[in-house]
Amino acid sequence: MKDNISKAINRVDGKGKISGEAKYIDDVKFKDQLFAKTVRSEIPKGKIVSIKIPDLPNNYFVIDKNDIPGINRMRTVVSDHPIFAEDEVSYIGQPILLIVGADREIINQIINGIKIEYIEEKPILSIEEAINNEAIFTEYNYSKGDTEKAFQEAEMIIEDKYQTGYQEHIYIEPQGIVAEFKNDKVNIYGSMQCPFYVEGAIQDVLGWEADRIRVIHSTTGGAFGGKEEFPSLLACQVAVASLKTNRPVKIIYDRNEDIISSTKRHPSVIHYKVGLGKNNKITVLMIDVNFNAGAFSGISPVVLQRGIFSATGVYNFQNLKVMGKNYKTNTVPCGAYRGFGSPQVLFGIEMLMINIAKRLKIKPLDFKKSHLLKSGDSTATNGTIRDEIKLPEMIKIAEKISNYEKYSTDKKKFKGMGISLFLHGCGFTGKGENDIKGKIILQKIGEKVFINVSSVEMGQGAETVLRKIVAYTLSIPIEHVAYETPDTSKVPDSGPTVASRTTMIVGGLLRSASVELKERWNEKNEITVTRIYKHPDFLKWDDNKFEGDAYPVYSYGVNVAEVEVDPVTFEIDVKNIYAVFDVGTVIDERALRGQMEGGMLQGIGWATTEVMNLSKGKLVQKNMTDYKIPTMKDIPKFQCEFVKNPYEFGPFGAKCAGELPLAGPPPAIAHAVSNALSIPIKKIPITPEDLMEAMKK
Amino acid sequence: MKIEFELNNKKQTIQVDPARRLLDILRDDFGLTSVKEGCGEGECGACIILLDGKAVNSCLIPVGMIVGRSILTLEEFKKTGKYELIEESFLEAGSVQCGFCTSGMVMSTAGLLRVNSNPNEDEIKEALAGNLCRCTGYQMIIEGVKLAAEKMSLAKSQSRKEKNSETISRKDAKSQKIINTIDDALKVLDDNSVTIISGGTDLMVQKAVGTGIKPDFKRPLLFIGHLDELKKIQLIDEKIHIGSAVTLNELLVNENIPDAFKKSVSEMASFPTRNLATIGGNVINASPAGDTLPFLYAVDAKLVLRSKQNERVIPIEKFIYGPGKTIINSNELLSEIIIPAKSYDVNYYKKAGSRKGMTLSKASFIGLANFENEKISDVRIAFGAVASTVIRSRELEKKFIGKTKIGIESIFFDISTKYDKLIKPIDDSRSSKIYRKKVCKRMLKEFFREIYRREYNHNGH
Repeated sequence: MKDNISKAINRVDGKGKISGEAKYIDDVKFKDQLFAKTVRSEIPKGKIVSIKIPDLPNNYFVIDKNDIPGINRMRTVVSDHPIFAEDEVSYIGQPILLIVGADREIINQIINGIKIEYIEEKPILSIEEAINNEAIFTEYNYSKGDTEKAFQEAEMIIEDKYQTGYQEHIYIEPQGIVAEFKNDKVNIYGSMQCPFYVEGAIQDVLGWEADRIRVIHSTTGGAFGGKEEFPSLLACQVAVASLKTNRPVKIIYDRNEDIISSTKRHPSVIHYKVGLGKNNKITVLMIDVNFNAGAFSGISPVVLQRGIFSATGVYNFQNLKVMGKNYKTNTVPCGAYRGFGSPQVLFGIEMLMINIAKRLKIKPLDFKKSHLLKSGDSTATNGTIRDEIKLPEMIKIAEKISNYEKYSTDKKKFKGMGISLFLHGCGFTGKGENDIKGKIILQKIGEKVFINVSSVEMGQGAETVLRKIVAYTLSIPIEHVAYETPDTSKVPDSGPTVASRTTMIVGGLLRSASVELKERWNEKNEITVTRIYKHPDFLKWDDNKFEGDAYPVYSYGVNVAEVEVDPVTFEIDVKNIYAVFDVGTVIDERALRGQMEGGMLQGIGWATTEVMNLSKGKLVQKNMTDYKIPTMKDIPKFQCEFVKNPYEFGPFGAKCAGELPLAGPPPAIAHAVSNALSIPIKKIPITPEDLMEAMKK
Repeated sequence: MKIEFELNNKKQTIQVDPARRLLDILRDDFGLTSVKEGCGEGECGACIILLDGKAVNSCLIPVGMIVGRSILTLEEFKKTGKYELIEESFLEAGSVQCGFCTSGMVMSTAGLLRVNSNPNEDEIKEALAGNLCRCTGYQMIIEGVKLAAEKMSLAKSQSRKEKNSETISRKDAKSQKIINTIDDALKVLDDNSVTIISGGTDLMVQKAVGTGIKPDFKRPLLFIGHLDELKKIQLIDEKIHIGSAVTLNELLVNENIPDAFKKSVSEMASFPTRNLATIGGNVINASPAGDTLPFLYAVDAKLVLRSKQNERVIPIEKFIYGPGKTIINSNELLSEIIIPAKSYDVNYYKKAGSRKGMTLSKASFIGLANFENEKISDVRIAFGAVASTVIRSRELEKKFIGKTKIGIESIFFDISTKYDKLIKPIDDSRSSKIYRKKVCKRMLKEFFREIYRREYNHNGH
């Protein structure tokens, strides 16, 4: 393969999926398999007094906290979520026990007969209540410059508040895992992003060494962060069940169960205090990021870290103080979702910039441009921007293809246009990549080259892109490159499939290994090349002070949104999205376009139709009828352009891509709606209900 | 119950509980795992198959409904030349990412291209909006479908032979032990306590328990959706008689159905669900958000209720008396819905949902008006989803009569205030009381504007 690397090739997993032959976890029948169904807490907070279970037929089992041989906690960043509830419950939907057996009909009857008695306690159900009760999991802050002095010297001080809502992943394949206890070992199969996370979690729960645990990835029908840490919980539950029953145990969520119990994007409330100097420049900024983490901390601390490190968006502020808090509430735990805390803060900062500009009566885009980061500037955490920032060029392209300058807002017809600028820090936050030390093994056996990595295909195209990187480097046909399903007993831990790190970090290691393999190509025996990730030496990070390079490099985006608001119902119709991205070098144009358009549509949904609220701790929208992701009729016309800006340490110059696009549409749409209706927008989702209220004046 | 049907071109006879979901039968009993479950409530489209050549959600079908019918899944369709072109096109267009929605997308595409070999973008969106995808943003799927259509027409012009053509046959249902006439059905109704299934799309969601579990019907099922007598649309004496088992998509393609009605029906559910859902089912359901109802109230639809002994004709507003509540007796069957064959000079329909495809009404409105000698001679106004039943007021409609299009301006405030008192919406998972109130007012106002915008038609109507 000698073509330009960016030129599209057919997905290697395409045929199997189009023909319906690809087997997802629920498509595989295990011999003598049992099904498991979860019994969950029906109250947001309280003590369990008693659990009455009807007489069980033969070969039907209850699996609960007493069956756990090891630690009853799910291993993740903060290992606080019980696999099964102990004496108390902390949110509606918290797993208490499993009923396991061969017939789902009978399992259902048993569950209908279970009676749980609780002593209810007063729950905390919102960020506001958590603030009043000081229910805080994590609190971070960092600063640069002299904010106090800068506020004293400011000509004008503005305070503002922005809010974002829940987002549910709605991967079309619900969560599902099978555990199979066999020959004193346990095999785990399922839909997941991170086989080694699952392996680690099971080690804790069973109290076993890793060599008795094997995690095998199944074809995964979408994940978007929702299958990062959450599948570990299911895997631990069914591993325990399989141990007890000595049979393979399968757990597949119904959609309703998936929505009420799986992790979501953290709802946020973000406060800003801005000091303005002469020439309409922001001289000082204070940002206070508040996330509702739900009942358990889990992965939330790192979500918050990305949130606070991305909080200044694409702008450079000399004097800065950023604070972040994860609040503990008696609500469903939040977790990883594409963007990982940054789409929330990027919405906030973009809208803040727009609303300040409007107040100063200057064009929002001009105001933004006058604060843009550029190469050589220091980042929010006092790291260094080493690569070229092509935002000025990207803005020009976006303006040209959208006719932005000439677009005149038609206020009679409620038509408007808006623009957003955004970025995404590539790979793990802070010292993450150095801690995980992703390892890959590339093997040449005969004419075939085998990729051994733990990165999974979940729709994003990893199987194709990683193969392509190896095949292009070696100048061999892609069919000669094999990429086996990740299986923790066979592949090294190249890290989880998260943080938009697969192409840049894992692909980078494969590229480097391929270069060596190419040199050694004619050796007679099998060749094995190993690589372990190490940050480039120039990257500095102090994890205690939160100072230095939070990310090795950033990808960037510019979105222009054109909207029409229905004058009768106030429904938002997003007509066009014009997008320009800098992801370094594009590894596959078609695969990347799919990532960008799909990511942007998730952003559009989050900003408009994806309403998710709580009522007394219970999710109001708990099925796909009420939680509305966009349909084919709801899409705008997407136009995507890419600028080339190769990154020295990425494979062929590639940076990160997958998470970047989600953050663009929400502020661009909010800006456009705000122009169309002449009202400020400070909250997403932007609902017709809220617009109706705002327009009554 | 013994059920005979055709599955992937082979005759099958199975002994099965007729209430089980076809989706479970296909996956668990036949191992046809291209058929996926993403939601179990007809929203996601991952379980779409072809039933007698039409795309339908297999999670919404109780298996008793498929007696004598023909089912095609991707396992068989993929053997065809048409499939190969779809596969090539989806690969070239990048229509696939995680793949979980893809087999449903392919089957919806197959269903579309059978009847429309050259669909435009809107037609593709209409046919595939019932297939949710969370990965692609859809544009690259639309491009895949377009490409497939192009390749097919090219292949046709080169008379490329298909390896294996899908056969669509409707087997003779009479050989089966199911009812074949209304009279049979009425006899069953008279003797037994049963649940009637017409399209099943609402009941299957209401009664759903979960994957692999039989929906929770307390009574035996009586299937009537296949009865030819209930599937007719006839024009008799200036009246349109619509059989209760006519599907929503059948309404949309019938020339006798008024445009105003088609507008509201076209915004219901998704294309594959509309291949199953029937007008009778929507009426009997008596949901406050039932989207056929505002039009039927507005035109004074009459319902024919038949029992073994009797037949009665009831105006729709006397038939429904609360959410899910109707006066039908347990031995009666809704056989026909009768509406006047009348057109209106002004047809205004508006639905507030939260997205364009597959959305339940937060509020809906229909306004119809006719003029004689430049004066309003007839006005019909109905609001849906904003009270326990559809809101209509003959008293307020009378106030329009005799007014010119300019003259109505003076009555707007009065009319609007009075409707406002009748509208009693609730807060629920889809919207708020306040929004519903306000949007109704705006819809009414827009109807006034529509009347005002109308050019006089001196040729009468």
